[in-house]
Amino acid sequence: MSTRTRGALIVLGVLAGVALAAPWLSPFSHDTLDWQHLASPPGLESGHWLGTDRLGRDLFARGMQAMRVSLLIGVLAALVSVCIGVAWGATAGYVGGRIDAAMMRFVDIVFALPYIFIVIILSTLFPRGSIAALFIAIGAVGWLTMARIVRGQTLSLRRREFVDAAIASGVTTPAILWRHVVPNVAGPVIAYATLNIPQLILFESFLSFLGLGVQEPFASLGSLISEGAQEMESSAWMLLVPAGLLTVLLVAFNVLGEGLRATLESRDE
Amino acid sequence: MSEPALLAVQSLSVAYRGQPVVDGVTFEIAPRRCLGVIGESGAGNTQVFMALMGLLPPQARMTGAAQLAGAALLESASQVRGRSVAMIFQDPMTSLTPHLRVGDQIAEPLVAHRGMSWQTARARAAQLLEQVRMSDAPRRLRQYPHELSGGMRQRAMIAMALACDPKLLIADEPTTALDVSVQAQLLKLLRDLIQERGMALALVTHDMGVIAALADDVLVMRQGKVLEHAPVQRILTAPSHEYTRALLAATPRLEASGPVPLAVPRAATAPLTARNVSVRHRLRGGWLGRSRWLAAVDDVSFEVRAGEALGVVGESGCGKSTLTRALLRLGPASSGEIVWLGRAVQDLGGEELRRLRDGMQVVFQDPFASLDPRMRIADIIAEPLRALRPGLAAAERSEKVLRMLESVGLGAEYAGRRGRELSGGQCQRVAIARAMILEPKLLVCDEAVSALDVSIQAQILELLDGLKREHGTSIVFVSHNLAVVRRLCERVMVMYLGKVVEAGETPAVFEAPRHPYTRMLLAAVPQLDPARERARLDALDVRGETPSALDRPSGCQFRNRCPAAQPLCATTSPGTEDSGDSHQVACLRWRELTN
Repeated sequence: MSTRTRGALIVLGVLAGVALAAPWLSPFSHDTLDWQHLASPPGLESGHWLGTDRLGRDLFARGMQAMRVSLLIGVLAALVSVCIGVAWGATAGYVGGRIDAAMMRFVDIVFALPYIFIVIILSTLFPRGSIAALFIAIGAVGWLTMARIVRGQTLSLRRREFVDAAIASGVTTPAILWRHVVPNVAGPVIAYATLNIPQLILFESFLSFLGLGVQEPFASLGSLISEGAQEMESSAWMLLVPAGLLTVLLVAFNVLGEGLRATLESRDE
Repeated sequence: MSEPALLAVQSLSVAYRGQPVVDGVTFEIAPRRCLGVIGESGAGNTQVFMALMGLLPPQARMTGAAQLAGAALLESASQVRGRSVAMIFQDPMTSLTPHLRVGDQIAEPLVAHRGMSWQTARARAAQLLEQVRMSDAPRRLRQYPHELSGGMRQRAMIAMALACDPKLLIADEPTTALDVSVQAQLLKLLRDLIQERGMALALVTHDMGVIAALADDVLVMRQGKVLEHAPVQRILTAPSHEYTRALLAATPRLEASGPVPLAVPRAATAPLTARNVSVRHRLRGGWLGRSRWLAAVDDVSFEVRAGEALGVVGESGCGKSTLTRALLRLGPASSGEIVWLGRAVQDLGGEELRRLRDGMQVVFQDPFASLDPRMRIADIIAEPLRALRPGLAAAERSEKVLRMLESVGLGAEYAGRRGRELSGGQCQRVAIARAMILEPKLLVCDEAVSALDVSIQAQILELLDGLKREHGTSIVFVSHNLAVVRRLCERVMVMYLGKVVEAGETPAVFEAPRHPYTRMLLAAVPQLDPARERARLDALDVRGETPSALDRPSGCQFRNRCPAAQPLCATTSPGTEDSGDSHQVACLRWRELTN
């Protein structure tokens, strides 16, 4: 593992740690209104380290709460897409023939639909602001690429002699998928999932920016950026704080994913 | 001998991170002579010549000196490479660039090193292809590597190496990946080329037969050190080093005696019987969608008795692997019947088929590819038990696995390792252990020892022989190596383009072959006696290569390579006849040819 990858891991660890510990670090909660400090800039003497918004809510507390939402949605949605994608892709690639063709055409069709609309429609089916609905919606489109990657890997594994050897040993098809195919596609899957997390976080922020995601009084990095953008000429920190947090998070995940991909690929050599 | 040495190497050493892989190697090669450098994997014989060509990776540390025609070589290897010294490698597919036409690849060094125009360089390439006896040379120039057969690709590689008239040709396992008949043709070509062009040849190999055919002097290497350096006659007849003797003893020979055919079948009925098995693949042609049928295996019948090994031999593309896949139900059989212990295998499906696997197991050619890289050795060997003996307690299972590990000569300490930490021979033993753990009645070995060094090959053959004798296991042994088949198999079946051309008891078939193809295969096997081997190459009448299964000749499929073909052979396809001396043959003229 390279120094860069390790650095990214440390940054993510610190961010996640601070985000989780924020309720104990700061006297303010994400929804307490401080009437004395409306729209005050960052400073130590006020206790609002990253400033407050127009309603006097502490930006550190809100930012960290938004980070918890982003991490939760990113990681859970990635998990959902890994589970569906691996099961779908491995089955299609291993079974082959008509079943494979039918399963992959289904993926093609869903891919062809404008997926923002799908997420918007899905998120309206659930009560507004439901985080569960959000990650199911995001995960449901995230698995398509995963299924294609896993199917491709499975097709090449299918021709390897150790799979033939397992068939000849009397191993059942589900057991071959679980014991031989899935562990051998784990490398690319982990790498792609890690690279997928920042995309999913970005997607969630985008939905929240549009007002379709996390609802008040809770915040998401996207909704904070949306609010901050309205005030950016008078109080730039309201935009810079959530935008900065989002950037650091995304860069760290991308570096980690890239590093994992390189490590896992060289291990497969 | 009086000519001054072309290449002189003095105490050459190569080390990686302080670990020596070549240790103080000294030798000379004179023009028109061939130095054979023999060694098993890890011997360092390839490293010596990579060092001379300047092809070692940057972390290698090299000491010593080498002169080519009097000029220091090690310091200027990159300028000399491709001009005075050229190299050919084992795998002709990966050494040719797939997207360039063969002619352009041969012409390229001429343009680069000689400053020729592309037009003259292409004309020269055509000449070179003629010189390496490439059939139909002008057409080959415009073809891509994948359109050529393995033997033709290796010829193209040799033509490329000869392009700039090198003084020294280094050949690293030049014929290892090729069929015996093609190997014999290439050995003859290399021998003629060094005489015609006055080149010196350095031949890196693990195969004593290749050494006997070409080398004048031999260097025997092990673990980076030269153990013995002597003329070929002495190495092969009176080696002084113990390792050379062990290597010679482990090399299977055609003339050696093999197992005696079972006089009386141990069981009244053969456990495995195949009747008229065919495997056809459908090929979709062009965009008019006319599909053709390709018969990879065509009307093959045989039986294997208990405790007996059946050898299946033939060149690549003869359908022997497709046949084993059909036997194991890893691939389909289009027609015919395979009966295993009284049940027709091809009709079984699902759970019944899975149960059937209990008695028949398989060992594949590539020992690394047949082990799951992510699993521990113990889990790999336990897999058939998990699948087919679900009632077995975990403790009992691991005890069985450990006993199995012992019996293939690997200790309990290997249980926790993974495939990549083991050598090829150790991996193959793991594969055999996996196949044996259910104590199957039938073991199918698809080129199971081909990728192994001879000393390990001998151990594995010993192991298989023991299974056969002690447990009464039947073995179907697919191999292109006739000497190995002679060593292990009671009966043998020779296949050509999907059909059985000759079958019978191994001694009868090998000592009195009836079919011209069997004769050609047997004549192509190198022998370990330099004098006889050279006479054999002179007399060699091996023609062409196996044609593609898509354009087979009419009548007898072998007729276009057969020295005894007559007009009749083009119109009539031969049926299988019993030739009386315990074997069957499919040739129209076998009676005349015997006399």
